[in-house]
Amino acid sequence: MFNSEFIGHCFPTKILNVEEGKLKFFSQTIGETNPIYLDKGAAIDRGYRSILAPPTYSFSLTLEGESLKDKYEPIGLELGKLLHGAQSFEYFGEICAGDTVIIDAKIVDIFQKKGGALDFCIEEMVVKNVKRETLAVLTQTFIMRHK
Amino acid sequence: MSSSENSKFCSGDILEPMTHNPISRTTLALFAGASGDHNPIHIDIDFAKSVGMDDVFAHGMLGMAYLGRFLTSITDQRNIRSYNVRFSSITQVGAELKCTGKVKEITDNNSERLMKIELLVTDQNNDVKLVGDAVIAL
Repeated sequence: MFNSEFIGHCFPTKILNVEEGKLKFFSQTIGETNPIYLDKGAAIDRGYRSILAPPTYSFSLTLEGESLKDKYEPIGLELGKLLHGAQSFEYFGEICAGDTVIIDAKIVDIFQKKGGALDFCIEEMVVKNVKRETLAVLTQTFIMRHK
Repeated sequence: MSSSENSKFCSGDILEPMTHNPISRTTLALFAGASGDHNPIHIDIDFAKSVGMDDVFAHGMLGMAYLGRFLTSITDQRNIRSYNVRFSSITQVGAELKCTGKVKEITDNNSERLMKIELLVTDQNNDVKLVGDAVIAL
């Protein structure tokens, strides 16, 4: 079970470099063909600082340098029961290769449904640039199924 | 894409679908590395069986990334204000995901004209995998 004592829990702030090679590998893996996601020159020609991060890449940035087990087991996660229930993004600015981003993550809710058979954990993550301007707000819903 | 190109949309419009290649085990291995989601349920059949599954299954975020490509094929990414999905069912290895969308409504909000799109990802059996929506500035 997710431990509801963790509602309001803030994870340590992460500061990351958005690496060009990693970003390009992500774009290639999802079959992206638009050069703004793959080629620095093409991205700059189209008015971006560098290769543009696709809409869901900030989720990967939030995972960078940590393991699901280490991050969530203290909260009660059992990895084999984990499902990603829902995911939301709100966008306020783009993220490009070479950027430095600051990520803060917080558990905003933990609750059960169906008499405890479904266990929910809602986490909000805010991605900012070095000027502390918000670029994206992510909300993820994790579900554990207890059979 | 300029705003004039975006003004071609009307409420009720069905958007041109996008179909992706079948999801292979290689795709899942690469996506685990590329996305940073190393949950073994997506890449290690021994782990999957040990927790009662018949096989590994795709990362939800792979489907959401494919659906994101669908969105950025419609509009310049800088116009996307929000993008939400619910993962309705597990996506199996071999699934051929099809992304579809419909313009739900166009509204004026503050200084922006906003288009809400209903989004759906289905597999080759028409099983619903992701249900979502996005708000795009026109």
